[in-house]
Amino acid sequence: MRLSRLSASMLAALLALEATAAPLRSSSSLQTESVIAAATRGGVSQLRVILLPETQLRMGRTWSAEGRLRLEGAASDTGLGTRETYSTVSEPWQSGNDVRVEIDAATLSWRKRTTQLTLGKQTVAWGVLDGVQVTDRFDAVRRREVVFTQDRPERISRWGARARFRFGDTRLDAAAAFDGTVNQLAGTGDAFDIRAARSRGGIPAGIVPASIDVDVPDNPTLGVRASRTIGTSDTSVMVIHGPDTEPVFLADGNGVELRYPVRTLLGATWQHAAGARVWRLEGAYIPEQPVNLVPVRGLAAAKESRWLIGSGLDWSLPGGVFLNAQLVVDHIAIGDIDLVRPETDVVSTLRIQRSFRNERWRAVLEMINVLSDGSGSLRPALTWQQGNSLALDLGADLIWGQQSDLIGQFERASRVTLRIRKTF
Amino acid sequence: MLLTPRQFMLSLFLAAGTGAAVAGGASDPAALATAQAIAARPANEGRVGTMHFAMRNGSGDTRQREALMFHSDTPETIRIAIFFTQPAMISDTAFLTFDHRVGDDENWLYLPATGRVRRLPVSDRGDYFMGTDLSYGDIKDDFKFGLEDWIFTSAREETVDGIRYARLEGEAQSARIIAETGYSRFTALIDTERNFPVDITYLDADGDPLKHIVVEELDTVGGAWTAMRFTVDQLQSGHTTVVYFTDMQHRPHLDDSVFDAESLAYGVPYLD
Repeated sequence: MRLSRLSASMLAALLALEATAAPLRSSSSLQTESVIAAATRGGVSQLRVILLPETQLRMGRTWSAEGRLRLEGAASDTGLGTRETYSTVSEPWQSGNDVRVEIDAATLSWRKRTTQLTLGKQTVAWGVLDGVQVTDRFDAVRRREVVFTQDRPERISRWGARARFRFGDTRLDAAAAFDGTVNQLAGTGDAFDIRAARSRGGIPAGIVPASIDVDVPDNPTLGVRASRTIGTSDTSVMVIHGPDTEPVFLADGNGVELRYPVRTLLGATWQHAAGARVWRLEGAYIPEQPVNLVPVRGLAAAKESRWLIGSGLDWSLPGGVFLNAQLVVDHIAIGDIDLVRPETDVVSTLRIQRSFRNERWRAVLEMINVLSDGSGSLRPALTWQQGNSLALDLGADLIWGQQSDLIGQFERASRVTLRIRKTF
Repeated sequence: MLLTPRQFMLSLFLAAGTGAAVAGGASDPAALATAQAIAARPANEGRVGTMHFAMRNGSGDTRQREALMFHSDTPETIRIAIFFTQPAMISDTAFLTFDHRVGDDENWLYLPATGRVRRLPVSDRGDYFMGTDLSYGDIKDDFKFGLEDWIFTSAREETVDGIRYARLEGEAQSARIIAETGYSRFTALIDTERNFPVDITYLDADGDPLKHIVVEELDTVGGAWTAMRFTVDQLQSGHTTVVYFTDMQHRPHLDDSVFDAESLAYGVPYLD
């Protein structure tokens, strides 16, 4: 209730600022439109239009505000994702099954030199690896297409506050989200609805629970990160405390309830630039990671120690070719209990990209491999940019593996995608 | 300096006697003196301006970019921060580069879609800068010819439209320089009063014309001559880039916070 009032007050403040735009030093606005069409073996499976109107205001040297909406429309039941995993203050407004409106950003910022304070609905991106979450676990994440998105992870903004400072060579970044939104999952029956028992708390594929409820947490997410640059190396350490963004499945009468228990993450990152290469390393320790046990007399969960270690290399190759290679190990201490997931997942990613014709064309090939279960995905994409405001992306997500695998469970969702981006 | 595999192979290829000739002698004294005068041209310690790019391909399709540019030149490092403001598709994207006189250079990029400032590998001098016809080397050289890169073969007087210039010519010092820059030779018209090249043609590794740069407007910023408008024609692809600056200000004491990598995410800095 308090959060509702806070968000309403902030929106009112932003609107008031808009109304007094005349004395502002600068202002700008833009609109972005996206269309996604995805075709699987069964024909066109997804058609979605996203409008992202945005307003930015600069008020003198120190104050600024930003507002951005996400208006989504889709052909019937083609996967706008869950709303139940949002807190009341952040839940998208919905009209029928096919139209939604969500606040993507609503912030008021104060800045002086290297200090910035931001209040409002925002995201907090930490970590140094690309699209794999080792320490980057502050934000809620849109997982309705799992990892098969253009930007990964797709972050969901939450109401909160953030302060960033610099003292000499040391930077401090403190953030709090007073908003229990945890993630957005694919809806039941959608292309990327989870199928593997390991991702469903041990519930075998094909068994549909009588009901699925979501216990959206009331707890805030708190985080603090300190970072320092020494020569061409950057290091950081961080602590994140708050609800996990991966659910555990527990019984709720005849149905199932998704819960997001509080956990603490201790993390560190390092990256080093050496000419045409940048090396990256991340590690995270979660002392009490909530995780489902193999069901014996029903769904059950425990808290176990979890380690995540990731390394990566960016390499600017001759001829304008860019290569990114990463390896992540996700280990959970099992001891003498049986968990629904393996003790260790090992995932590698490889991305090669090159631009052509003065960056009017760009070709990207990405391969994701789950080395521990043999599943994976190949993601070729070709982008053409026409003029200043139009871009077409033709891509594919070719997925292989078994229904029980981390990525293989989405094998039936292999698809060809066409995305049109237009700005005004 | 270590060679990349491509540079190494190209070096071998050129050393074998095919491709463009590689200079083997010393510079002509008069030509070297001209190049030294250009290299000694004073730079301003700091400047800020709005940078406009227009990039046109052979079929006439033109893309435009607008960015705020912050440039600082100290004895140790040249620092350039670029905050894109137009078009909307790349608005808020920011790029920061440190060109250290000693040691590896450093690059950072902020992409709004990722929400993170990313440390980038350093590009080759011959790689093209953000879709323009300028290479990273062109930008770093700032209309000067590296005295260690070239053998300056001649500098003769020439009159164009009634104005007297020096015609400076150079050949790459080595196959390595050709591999790094993509240029084997150049010929340039030099405004000898300002020690500024106003018309440059570069030849590629095979000795074919590659790039033609024409400086259309010069002005002083903080006492240093600065190209305010120039056109780059890529002669082999038919692509053209026009670059011009507006609202250019001399800012000799830019605050370090302007060049703070993490602060790229905050957006365009305001200056006192």
